[in-house]
Amino acid sequence: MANILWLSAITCNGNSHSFLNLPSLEEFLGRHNFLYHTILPSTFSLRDIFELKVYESIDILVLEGTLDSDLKKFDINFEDILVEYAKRAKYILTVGTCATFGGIFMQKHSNRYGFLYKNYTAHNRFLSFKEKSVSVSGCPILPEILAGVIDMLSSNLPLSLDEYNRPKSFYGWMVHNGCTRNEYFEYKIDNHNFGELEGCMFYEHGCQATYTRGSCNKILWNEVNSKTRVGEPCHGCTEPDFPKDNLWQTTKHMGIPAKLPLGVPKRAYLSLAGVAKAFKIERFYKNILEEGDS
Amino acid sequence: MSSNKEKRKLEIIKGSLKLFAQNGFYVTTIPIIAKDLGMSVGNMYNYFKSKEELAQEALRFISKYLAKDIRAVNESNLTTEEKIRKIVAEYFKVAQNDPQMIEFFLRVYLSNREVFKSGCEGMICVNEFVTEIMIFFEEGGSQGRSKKPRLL
Repeated sequence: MANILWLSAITCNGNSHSFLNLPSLEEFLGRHNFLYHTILPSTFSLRDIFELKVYESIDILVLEGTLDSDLKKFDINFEDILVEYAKRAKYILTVGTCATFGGIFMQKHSNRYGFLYKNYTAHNRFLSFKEKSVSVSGCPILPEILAGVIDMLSSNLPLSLDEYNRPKSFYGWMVHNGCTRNEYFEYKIDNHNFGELEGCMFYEHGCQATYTRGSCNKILWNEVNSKTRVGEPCHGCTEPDFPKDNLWQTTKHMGIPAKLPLGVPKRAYLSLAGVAKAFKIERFYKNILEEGDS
Repeated sequence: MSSNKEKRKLEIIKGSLKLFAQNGFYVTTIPIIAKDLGMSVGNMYNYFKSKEELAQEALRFISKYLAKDIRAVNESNLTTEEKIRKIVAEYFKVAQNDPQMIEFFLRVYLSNREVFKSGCEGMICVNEFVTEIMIFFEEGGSQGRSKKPRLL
């Protein structure tokens, strides 16, 4: 059993809520104990937490939300409290893109930041805690990833991390991996209308799945679906530069997407696109369900 | 394929290019090409199964040949303006030194599309060349130096 302390900085509580959708939440709560969580039953009140009345061992400190050095709760500086518990915690999890990279609540506020990063740049405020920190980015996080990481840490299982401390098991591959529209991507066919099952959204509709690390198309939301599967572009919410502008439109230069699939050189992409586009395959231009019975 | 056979194939492509460029696709027959190269017609078919296949290989050869020069320009540190001047200069150099390259493109590829319909779909046989041109435009576009032409 792990003792978990969940602290919220500047946040919409989206990750707290998302976590409630964990299909095995009941079993999870049977395995672990929340010293404090914004919504779930907890051992302590938020005031107890801020008055440093927690003497139990802290296995995992969860941080949600963007940081701001001036943030106060009960007239107590948030970062002072954060540092107190961070020192005592065995592991620190930054949950969501706000806590990890600054995210939505950092926009238009130059004095705000994530726990270890401000967008792509590492800062030194909490550098001494980096060794025991794990980043679980996303807006919001997939509950299965958070539960999986907590279970792995509390079982002392090794976690392989990427350059931003994200577990590679969940962030080592692109969101594109597992997308049901891959066939349309291969043949470079957008031809998509929002909500329809046909077409790839990379070419016109701003989909960022080919350069966004995450598991959204392998661990489905509510065990049902993903954005790209249902017909919405991936907004790249797990990446340091989230959110960007113009999320439903592909930025292009002279007809070529400005940002290409991760690691794919422009020359390789264009060569492949040239070959793929040479053949007009009728099936890909049809609306399968509205076509009628054959 | 052995390097000797590859070398001979290249000689046939270069030889046929001149004849295609001078006389057009239909007038230039396999016996004419074979005679010009000092080969037997039978031996020619050891290298290319048909005249169409030979023409398609010739097109690929030109595409790679032109792409090589443009790629060097693309990978240089020149400005967009300098690059476009250099690409145009390279084009005129080819037109002057190896006119058959350009003439084949205009007189055969663009005039006899039926020859390339099966085997050279879309831009497949000119892929290298088109890719380099696209990279040139894309890089100019991303720096705000190239613009999509406005329709009148």
